[in-house]
Amino acid sequence: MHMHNRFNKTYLLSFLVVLLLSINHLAAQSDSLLQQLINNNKVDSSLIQPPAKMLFTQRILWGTNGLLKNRYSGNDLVANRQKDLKIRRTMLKLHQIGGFVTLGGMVAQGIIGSQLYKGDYKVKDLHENVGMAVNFSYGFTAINALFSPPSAFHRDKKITSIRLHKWLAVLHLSGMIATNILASQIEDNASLKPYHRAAAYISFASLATALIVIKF
Amino acid sequence: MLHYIILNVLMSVFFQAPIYEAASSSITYTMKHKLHTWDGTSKQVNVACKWNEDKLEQISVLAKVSSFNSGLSSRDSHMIEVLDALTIPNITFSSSNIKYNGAELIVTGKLQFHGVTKEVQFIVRAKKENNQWLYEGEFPVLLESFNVERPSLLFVKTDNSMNIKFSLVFKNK
Repeated sequence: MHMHNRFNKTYLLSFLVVLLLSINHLAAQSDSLLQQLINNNKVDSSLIQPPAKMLFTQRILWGTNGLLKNRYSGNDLVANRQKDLKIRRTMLKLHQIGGFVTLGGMVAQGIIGSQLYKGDYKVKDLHENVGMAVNFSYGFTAINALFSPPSAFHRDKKITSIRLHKWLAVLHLSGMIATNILASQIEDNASLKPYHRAAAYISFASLATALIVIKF
Repeated sequence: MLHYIILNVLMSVFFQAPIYEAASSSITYTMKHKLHTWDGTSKQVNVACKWNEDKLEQISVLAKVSSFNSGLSSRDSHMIEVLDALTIPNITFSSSNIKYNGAELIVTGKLQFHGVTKEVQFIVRAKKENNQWLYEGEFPVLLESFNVERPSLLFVKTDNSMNIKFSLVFKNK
């Protein structure tokens, strides 16, 4: 009986050892299968360099011969690109905040402007001050988009929401320039008022649409 | 011993494992942001596997984060940022156990995503069409459980859950 128990224990122990070895062997096999696929590269080298295609404003700062080409200490290209992408994200967040602030300012300016258009000249100074604030926030928003470090890819071939956003940016930028030029000439030529208003409306409508079309 | 060697030699002569068809295989993720859902697909899926006759016994899969294309470069670039793809370039899966249940396989294994390894289990449907095997399945991944900061647009974050769908094709020689 005692011998039988000892035999059972030995058998159980051997079984457990074999089971553990098999599990280890299986895990090692699955790891070796994975090792066949993994190369020795610890980084994705295709992402280190920014895409060749970028906006000229981005090229001025972040291009191969850009002003910020030796931007960080050391020659760690991976760390540099990681910093670039972090700066890009921060700038694009500021771009989003700026876009909303500008749109809000434009709504306020539309209300004040229509009062002025009806002959309420008390709000003239306010209209000018709000105009300056809108110009400032618009410029801040634009700078954060135009001068942000380039994205990791530039491979879109179809019409995308970002492309529409950029096309609309051309429209509202033109509208903003026209609105400001016409505003500076209204004092001498009051007949320009409707054109100033039309340019402002076009800027507002294209900026609002640019905000709507964008999606993650 | 001699029997074993002869059997192995005969097996290697008469049985050849199915060959992985990279061109027909893909992995697709699906993510959701308020009011809209999108997919990103990688057609560069690397696979290594072990067969027991025509039964898949073990499989390892690797896809580079940068190979996923959602049709919007800025979105893909954002994914590169949140997944730290510069220094953690690969997503890998390695099976530890495959159980057959008719035409379905219950696969257990380790998923390494954003440098975090977790055990996952999912069902794979196996279909034999003409001269090829098609293995399809899907499973959810919670971004935050892999230490991924959910990407956001207009200060609204994407859903935490991301669905991974795969389709792997093997051809009999």
